[in-house]
Amino acid sequence: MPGTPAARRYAKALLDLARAQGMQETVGVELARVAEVLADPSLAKMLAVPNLPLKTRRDIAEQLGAALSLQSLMNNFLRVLAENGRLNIITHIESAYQHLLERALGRVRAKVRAAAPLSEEELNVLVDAFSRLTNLTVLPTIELDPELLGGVMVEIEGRVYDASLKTQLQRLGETLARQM
Amino acid sequence: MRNHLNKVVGFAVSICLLFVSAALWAAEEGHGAQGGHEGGGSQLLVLAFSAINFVLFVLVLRKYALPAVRESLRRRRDTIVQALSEAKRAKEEAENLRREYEQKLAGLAAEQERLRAQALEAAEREKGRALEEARRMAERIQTEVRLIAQREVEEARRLLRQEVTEQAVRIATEMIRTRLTAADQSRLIQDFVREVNDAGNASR
Repeated sequence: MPGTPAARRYAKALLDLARAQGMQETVGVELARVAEVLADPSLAKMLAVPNLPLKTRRDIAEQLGAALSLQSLMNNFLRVLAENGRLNIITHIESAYQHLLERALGRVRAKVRAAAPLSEEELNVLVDAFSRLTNLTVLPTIELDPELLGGVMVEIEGRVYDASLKTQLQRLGETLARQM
Repeated sequence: MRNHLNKVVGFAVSICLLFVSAALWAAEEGHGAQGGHEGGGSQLLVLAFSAINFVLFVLVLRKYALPAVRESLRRRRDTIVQALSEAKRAKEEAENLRREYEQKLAGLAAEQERLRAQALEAAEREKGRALEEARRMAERIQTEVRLIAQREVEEARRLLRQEVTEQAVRIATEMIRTRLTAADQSRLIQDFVREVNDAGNASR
């Protein structure tokens, strides 16, 4: 599960509140926008300064809420983060929130690397197979990687399912080296 | 010594008394036979007087001179006895010293022999130790050389295996790049899907 322990606690609290209001996906979108803004290097550097005055932190949260036209739930959440000096972990909170949201909605993200473009049918078959394996709805992200030579490699929550010819050749080479 | 002197003095006094008696007897005989020889009587008186004088001289000598002479002789005797004693002691000491040095000389030879034996023994031990050390070092060097040779052979084999394997993988990779078709790719995906499905069925 992504994020630090503190980020996961904040993300879970936010998801509980959003779910109570039926806004979990809206909050997820808003949280992604906020995280994208605060990921700006100059802003992130300023938020990382220890003992940043409380007023400054509150001003940043309020201006961010106004600029992005955030819902009151997200505005309140940002204020809490500002008061606790946790605006600097917003990216971790966002990752954890998306993960928890997807899990709550029965979804999981999968990174699919293929040596050649996959047909729609091949992709569907692949997604169905992993959906059955994980008992979750798989949301694939396709990435082309000719270095794989052939086959595919699927990564779901840090776990790698490797069916590439590159890896098979490497294993074959290791086996040959051991047996010679 | 003292007894000897007493005998001498006693003998001298007896002689004097004998002389005086004989003189007195001779004087009486002469006076009776010749009757009027005045010159012979006076000679006897002179003789008697001389004898008494001699006896007195001897007595005075015995009273005063003899103790001094005796003392002087005693001291001289003591000195001679002491000198003899010292000479005897010196001789004994010299004798002891001679014996001691003889013993030392005899011991020195034995000590010299013992040291020589010890030195020989130590030299033998050292020789044995050096030979043993040299033998061990030779064995160690041989072992190390053997190990190094084995390692080098093993490393050469490993490099050869690696080279052959890499070459095989390179050739296979090149063949796949040139010969892999879309159908092959599709088959690979189907095989993978089948494996995933099997894994999913197995986990249920």
